Amino acid sequence: MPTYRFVHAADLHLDSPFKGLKRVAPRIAEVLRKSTFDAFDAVIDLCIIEEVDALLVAGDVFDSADRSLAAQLRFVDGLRKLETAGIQSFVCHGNHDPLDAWQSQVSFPDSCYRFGSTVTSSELRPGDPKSPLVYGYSYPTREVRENVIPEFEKVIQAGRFSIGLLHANVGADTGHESYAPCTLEDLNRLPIRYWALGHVHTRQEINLTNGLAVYPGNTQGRHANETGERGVYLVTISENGEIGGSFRPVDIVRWDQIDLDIADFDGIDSFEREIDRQIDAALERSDGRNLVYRVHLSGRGPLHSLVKQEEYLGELATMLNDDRSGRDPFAYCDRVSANTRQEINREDLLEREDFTGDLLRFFDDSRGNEGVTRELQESLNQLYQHRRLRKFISNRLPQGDELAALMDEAESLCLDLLIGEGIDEN
Amino acid sequence: MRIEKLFIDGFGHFAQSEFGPFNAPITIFYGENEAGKSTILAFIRTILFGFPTRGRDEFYPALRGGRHGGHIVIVDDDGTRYSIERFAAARGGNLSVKDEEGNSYGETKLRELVGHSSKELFENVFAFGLDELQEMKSLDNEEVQGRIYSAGLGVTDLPKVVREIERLQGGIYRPGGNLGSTQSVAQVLSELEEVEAELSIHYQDAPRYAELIDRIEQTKDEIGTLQENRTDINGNLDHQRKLLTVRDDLMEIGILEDKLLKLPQTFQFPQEGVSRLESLLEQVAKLEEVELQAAASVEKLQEVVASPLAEGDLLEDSANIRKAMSERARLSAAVQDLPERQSEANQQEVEVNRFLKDLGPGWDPARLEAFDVSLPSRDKVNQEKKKASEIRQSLTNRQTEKESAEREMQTASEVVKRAALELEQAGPSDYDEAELAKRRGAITVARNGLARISESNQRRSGLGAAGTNGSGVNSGMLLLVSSLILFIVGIGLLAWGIGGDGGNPAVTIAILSLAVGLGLAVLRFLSKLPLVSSVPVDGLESEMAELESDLSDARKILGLPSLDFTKLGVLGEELEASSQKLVKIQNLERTHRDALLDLDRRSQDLERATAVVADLDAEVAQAEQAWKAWLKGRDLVETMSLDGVLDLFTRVETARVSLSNKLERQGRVSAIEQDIVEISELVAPLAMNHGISIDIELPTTLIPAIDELSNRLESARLALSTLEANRASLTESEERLEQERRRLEVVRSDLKELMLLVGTEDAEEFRRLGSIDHEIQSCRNDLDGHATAIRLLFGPAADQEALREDIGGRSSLALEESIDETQRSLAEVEENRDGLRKELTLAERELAELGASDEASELMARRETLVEELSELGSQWSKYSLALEMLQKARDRHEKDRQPQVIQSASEFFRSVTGGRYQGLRAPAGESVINAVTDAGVERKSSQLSRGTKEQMYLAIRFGLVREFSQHMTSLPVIVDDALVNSDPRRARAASEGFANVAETNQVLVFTCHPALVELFQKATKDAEVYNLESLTQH
Repeated sequence: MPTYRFVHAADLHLDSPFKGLKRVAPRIAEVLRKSTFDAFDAVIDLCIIEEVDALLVAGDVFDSADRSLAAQLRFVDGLRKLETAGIQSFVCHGNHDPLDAWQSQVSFPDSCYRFGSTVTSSELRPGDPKSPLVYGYSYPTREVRENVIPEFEKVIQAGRFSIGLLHANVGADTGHESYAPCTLEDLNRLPIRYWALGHVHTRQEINLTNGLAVYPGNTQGRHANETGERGVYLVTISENGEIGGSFRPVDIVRWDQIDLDIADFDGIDSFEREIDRQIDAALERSDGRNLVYRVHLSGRGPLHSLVKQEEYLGELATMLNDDRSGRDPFAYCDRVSANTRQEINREDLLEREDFTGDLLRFFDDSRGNEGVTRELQESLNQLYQHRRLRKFISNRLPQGDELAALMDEAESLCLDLLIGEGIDEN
Repeated sequence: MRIEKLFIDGFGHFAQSEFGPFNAPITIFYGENEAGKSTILAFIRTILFGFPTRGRDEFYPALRGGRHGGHIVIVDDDGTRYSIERFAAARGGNLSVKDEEGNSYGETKLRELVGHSSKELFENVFAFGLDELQEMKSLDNEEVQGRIYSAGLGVTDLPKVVREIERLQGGIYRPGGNLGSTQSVAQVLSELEEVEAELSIHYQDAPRYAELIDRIEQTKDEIGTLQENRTDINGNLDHQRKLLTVRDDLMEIGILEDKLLKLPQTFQFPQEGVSRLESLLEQVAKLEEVELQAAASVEKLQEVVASPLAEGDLLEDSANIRKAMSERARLSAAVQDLPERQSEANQQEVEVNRFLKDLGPGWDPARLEAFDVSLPSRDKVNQEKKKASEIRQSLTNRQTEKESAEREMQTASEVVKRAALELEQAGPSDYDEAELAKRRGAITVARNGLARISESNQRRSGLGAAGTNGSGVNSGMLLLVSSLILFIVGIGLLAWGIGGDGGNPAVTIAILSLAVGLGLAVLRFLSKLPLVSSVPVDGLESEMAELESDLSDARKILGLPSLDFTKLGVLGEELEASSQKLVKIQNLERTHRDALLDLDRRSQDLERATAVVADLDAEVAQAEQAWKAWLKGRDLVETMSLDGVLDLFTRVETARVSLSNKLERQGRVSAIEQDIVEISELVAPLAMNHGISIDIELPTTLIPAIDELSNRLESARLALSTLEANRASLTESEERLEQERRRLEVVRSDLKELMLLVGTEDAEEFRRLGSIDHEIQSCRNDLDGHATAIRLLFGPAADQEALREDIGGRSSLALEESIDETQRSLAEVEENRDGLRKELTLAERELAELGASDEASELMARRETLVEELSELGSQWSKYSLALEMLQKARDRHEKDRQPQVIQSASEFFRSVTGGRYQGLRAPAGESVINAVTDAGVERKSSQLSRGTKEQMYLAIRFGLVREFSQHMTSLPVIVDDALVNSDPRRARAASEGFANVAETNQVLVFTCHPALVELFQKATKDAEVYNLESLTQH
């Protein structure tokens, strides 16, 4: 068998906006807005430079909810570019870009094999009798909640090197919705040597009994939780059928998070110097890419009285951005958040028999108390279910960890006002 | 817990003060204002809860000394005593908690001892102040209740905290109302809705794109159909236009075909017969003419060729004639040059003869050639010349030297004579040198001796009288003063030289001055010594005797009978004259000696010079002899000088040059003459052969002969070449004549053959038949022309019959009308097509714009940003809401869990302090109000109560809280600071009874300056103890 090479990409989410970003300067907004496209261009360039046989895209090319025409057109443009370079493309569609979300008028090039709603296969290198076969499946609609591995099982041919292209949640990853759920055993059962997966945005390599399953992750991180490098897999199938894969970053903008415990700082100078140092380190990590980062402050210490002020946090972000967001590459601070406490011993307060003690005890009782949580959420629904607001934020009603964090902040606020330095009436 | 003792180390104006033990349930601190009540209160609070964080040093400073702070002894509910000590320091002060056994505890123990009460709780619940009660008057009911609850809650001001959080929350979103523009959520929302509206338009982008794609496809199809229609119509229009064009051709074709039918159908006539006939006839005529001309030309040439050739014999000598012609230029030059060269040769010979004559007899060209004037010979003569010159010069110099020696010898001899004469004149000397010296010494001894004798005599006479020597003193003083002055000046100059601008000269002078001054001083010192130690008189006598002896010796030497200064003077002068004379004689003797030596030297010089001159004379004679021998060797006269020989050399060389020139010119003349002879020998026979007369002696006549021969030869050659050309022409003309004749035959044969084709030999008949053929051909050509025109328009397969049918008998006008109609329908189709094309362009542009637009993308990003901002605001709002919610809930629980007990206790107090006019208090469930219940069971809201009753209700609630807290934590002491002063006596009594009631569970400390209150509390509690602060402080 000759050597075959292909690039495995997934979750392009073309033209999908960055999530959770506050207002940014127009220059930066433009870079961010174009970043999914630019990352895709980088994928195409990689294919051409590496002279691969094919590009495999494992779903979620774009977000149908965004209804972006540009995303579909730019995607097809990229595939055409590959066709000009003599490179095949194989595309399956996932929950975000199911078949029914694509405009039938967006015509794909002949060199692109689009998988339909039944499992089919095609040669990785057309006309080559020894070429591996690519099997794939596209979601006909968004909601595919059943396991589709049995469908692969029905059509799989023995004796040929096989690649599976699928958008699915393998092993019930709780961080992602359970679309086309399947298990590791399912994958192991099939004689597919390389599973080109999509859906999970974090890079992941899963060793199978007789092969490899890979989530390359998305090509461009789009929110604060998608930190670190993002990219694709360059896969080589050697003459003796061995699989070699290497990750290649293609992201344009990198996300990072800077966490600081204010207990480590006596004064504002050393605190701000440390932030600077950490930004430099993050830039170093981003390897010359643009950087969007968040600063989160926690712990208790003398700086609490300063960082509890929203104005100061805003000013800090502005100061950081004044310094670095104009550079190239830029380092943009999306926000500075703080969940800090006064330097007081909560245990002592808990012992008190007064209202403060009662309040802290009540906070403690409420945490994890479903009834109280529900009651609290109900009160918050005044905002989240407001007739004009619910459309935008009803899904953001604080719950779980977020609610717990807010409870902590609320407690800290109460303590600040009840026993702290008092209220500034101005 | 109760306070047993207070030990104030230094606090306010208390120092080393001790209070206690307080064993009574109520302890009253009585004292006028400024007696220290507030200080003691502050002391208790400070020891229990710490010094203030800021300004602790200004907080009741130890005005009367002592360490700032002190300690309190307390007894906990179990009866254990603890000493709590605190002194001013950072972070609330240095705390020490110890039990009776000396065990130490920390802050935690203290918190435990005070029941984890905060300072605020202690101050709000357990401390009653006058101000607080007075302040209540200005507050409304709700506020009063808030304060009451706050007091119970143990926090500074809960309503204020709640208000602050509500303010923050309301800034984002205020629940229950409309979204106002001041709420930040509303601002973001409004922007978001705008973006959403814009974005909703873009949601149609994809469907619109699909629609446009469909539309474009459809429009393209429609355009295609129209385009096909247009093509059809265009084809039709084109056909009709062509029909119109060929209509006349078709008509003509009909007419021509009719005409052809009327002409012979089987007629055969050669192709282009008539024109071929005419052409052949014309050729025959032309060839006949040419033949005639060629025959005439041949005849003429034959005549020319037959005539003889002139000057033919010259051609035989053409080689010699050409050679003669080639020599013509040389001959001409020789003839022209010869006389001049001969004249030059003659002149040169005359010049040579003259030079030989000049050289003298015996000189001929042979000797001239042989005479040696080579460079070595010339050098030899020159060397001889130089040598002779040098010898002569040497001789002259030596002779001059000899004469000079003679003169000098003569002079020296005269000097000797003169010196001898002078010596003789000077005569002998008076004394020799030894004698003179001896006499001079004797005179000096005599003078000194005389002087000293005189001095000794004076001293001898002066010793007995004054004992001093005035002149000695004076000169001593003078030396001293001089040395002093010189010292001062020296030091001054030294200073100026070293420190000032004097420089080295000043220093030098200074040192000199100092040295001189020092010298003078020493001199003064020395000169003074003899004065100080004066010689004794007996010493003088012996000195005198010694002097006399010396004088006697001198006198003998001088040969004088006696000695005095005058005689010694005369003798001295004489001695000086004798001395001078002796010197003069010695000088003359020296001069004479020198002159004799000089004369001897001169004589030797003269002898040497004379010998040299004689040597040189001999050398000259020898040279002259050699020269003569040399001249003879060359056959020259012996008298010839060196310069003469050199001159001869020059002249011989000149004559040789002239001789050489002569020979050269004679050679040239001979060569020219030889040339002329050679050419004459060539030309003369030729001239004679061809009848040209020449004079063989006169070479100039040869030149015209050569010229004539040349001209005639040229003419003969020209005639020969003309004859040859004519012969060639004749041959050519004969060939041409023959050729023309053959061609004529051919043409005549062709002509006959042509005519025979139509069976005639008559050209006219042939022409007639040709015109019939022409008519037939013309008709056919016209038919072809029309058919070609039709084919050009309708193609090679055009069917004329079908076309006739298409025309169908229509006139041109009818056809044109039909064309117009078709054109109109074409325009209509094109108009439709163009309209669709415009639509297509617009649709494609819109499609491209849709595909390339970033607007939707930008709006999505903006939307996401705004949603995030909204979400962020939501989080903040949630934080505030949660805080409010939790505060409210905690308060509810607090009230629910603690209030019933508080209200119950408070009711009892209230009933007691109102003397039964009210049976108690009631807090309706779910309402944050407390109502008073009259003895008749009627509930009254606090706003319905009088100020005094309200105050009592407040006190009652306070008592209730005290009781409540005491049950849950520890019974802290209750402190009353000048409360109840404004109450009427009855209410004050009731209140004091209330306190007495509290005192059953809690220690009560009362601070007051009113004796009535002291009395009141004493009446209420028999065990009350009173501390008179004024008496205490006076201690």
